[in-house]
Amino acid sequence: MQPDRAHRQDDPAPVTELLVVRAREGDTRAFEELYRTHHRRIYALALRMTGDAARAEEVTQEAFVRAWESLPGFRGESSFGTWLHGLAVHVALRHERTERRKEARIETADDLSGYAAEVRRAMPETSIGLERAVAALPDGARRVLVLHDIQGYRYEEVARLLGIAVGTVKAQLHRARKLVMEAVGR
Amino acid sequence: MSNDEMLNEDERLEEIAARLRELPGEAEPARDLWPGVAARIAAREAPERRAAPASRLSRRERVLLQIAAALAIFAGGVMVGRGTVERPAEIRTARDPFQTAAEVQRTGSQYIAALSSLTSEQGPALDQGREAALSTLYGAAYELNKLPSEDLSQVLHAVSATQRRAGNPVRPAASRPVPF
Repeated sequence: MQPDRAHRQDDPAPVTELLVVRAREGDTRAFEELYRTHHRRIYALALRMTGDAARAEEVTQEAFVRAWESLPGFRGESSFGTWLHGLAVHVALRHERTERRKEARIETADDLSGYAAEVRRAMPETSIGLERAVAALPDGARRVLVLHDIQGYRYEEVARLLGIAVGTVKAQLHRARKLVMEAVGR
Repeated sequence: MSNDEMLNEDERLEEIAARLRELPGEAEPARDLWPGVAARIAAREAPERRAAPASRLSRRERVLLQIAAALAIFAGGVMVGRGTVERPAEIRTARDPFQTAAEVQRTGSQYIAALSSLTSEQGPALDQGREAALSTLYGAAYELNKLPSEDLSQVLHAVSATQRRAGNPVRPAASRPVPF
C-alpha cells in the first residue's frame, strides 16, 4: 500500500533503514528515533480517524507498539513510513470497531468545538472550517474521505482497508465531498 | 439540475478535493507519547522473554542453532569414542563401546531430525549451514577411519548389538569403510 502522503514525507532512507535494522535487533533507542521521525504523521491520521485527542493518542501509541512487535516481519518491500502508516490505519479501524464508541464520536457542537481546538493547537496552519466539516461527516463517509482525499490512498486500497466494494467507496466519497462542500459554503 | 449546474457542482467538488489534499499531514500531540510506548513495549516483552529467551530469533536461526548443537554433540561422541580407543587396553571396559555407539546413534538421530526440518528452507545462510554440517561429519568420519581395525570392529559390533536389542537389526559391516 503506497499512499501519496507516505511518498511526500521527508524520509532519509539510509538512516531509516539502519534504524529499522537496529530496532529489529531489539534496540529501543533506534526505535525511539523512528518514533520521533514518524509520530506526527501517525497522530494526524489518528486524530482525523477518531475525532478525539485522547483516542488519537491511544491509537498512535498502539500503532507504534504493534510496529515494534511486527518489525521482525517487515521485509522492506515498501518504505518504513508507508508500512507504519498502513499499520496505523488498521489500528485506528480496529480501535473503532472493538470499542464501539461511535456514540462517543463528534455529535454535538461542544464535541466539535473541542476537536477544532485540538486541531488548531496540533496543526496551526490547517483550515479549521474544512477540518470541522470533515469531522462532522457520518462515520462511513468520513473514513473514506480521510483515507482517499487526505491520506492519498487509492480507491482499491480504501476498499480493501474498509472491507467494502470499490463502488461503495466512490459513492461514499462523492457524498462526503458534497457534504463538506455544503458545510464550508454556508 | 441543469447541465450547467451539474458541471458547476463537479468543479466545486474537485475544488474541495484539491483543498482536502492540501491539508497538513502532520500534527504534534499535546504530550510526549514515547514514554507510554516504551512502557507498553517493556510490559509486553517481559513475560515473553521469561518464557522464551530466543523469541526474537528467526526460524532459520533456530534451525541452524539446532544443527550446531547436534553437531557439537555428535563430535563430542566421536571424541569420546576415540578417547576410549586410545586408552590402554587394561583400563578399557566392555561397556565403553556400547556407550560410544549409543551416543553416536542418539546424536545422529538428532542430526537427521534437524536436517529434515530444513527441507523447506532456502538461501545462502542455509547453504553455509549445510556446508558446515557436512564438513564436521567429514571430520568425524575421518577420525573414525583412523581407528585401528580391531577397535573399529568392536564399535561396529556394539552398534549392531544395540540395534538388535532395539528390534532393528542391521547388517554388520563386512570390512573397513572406504577412506574419504
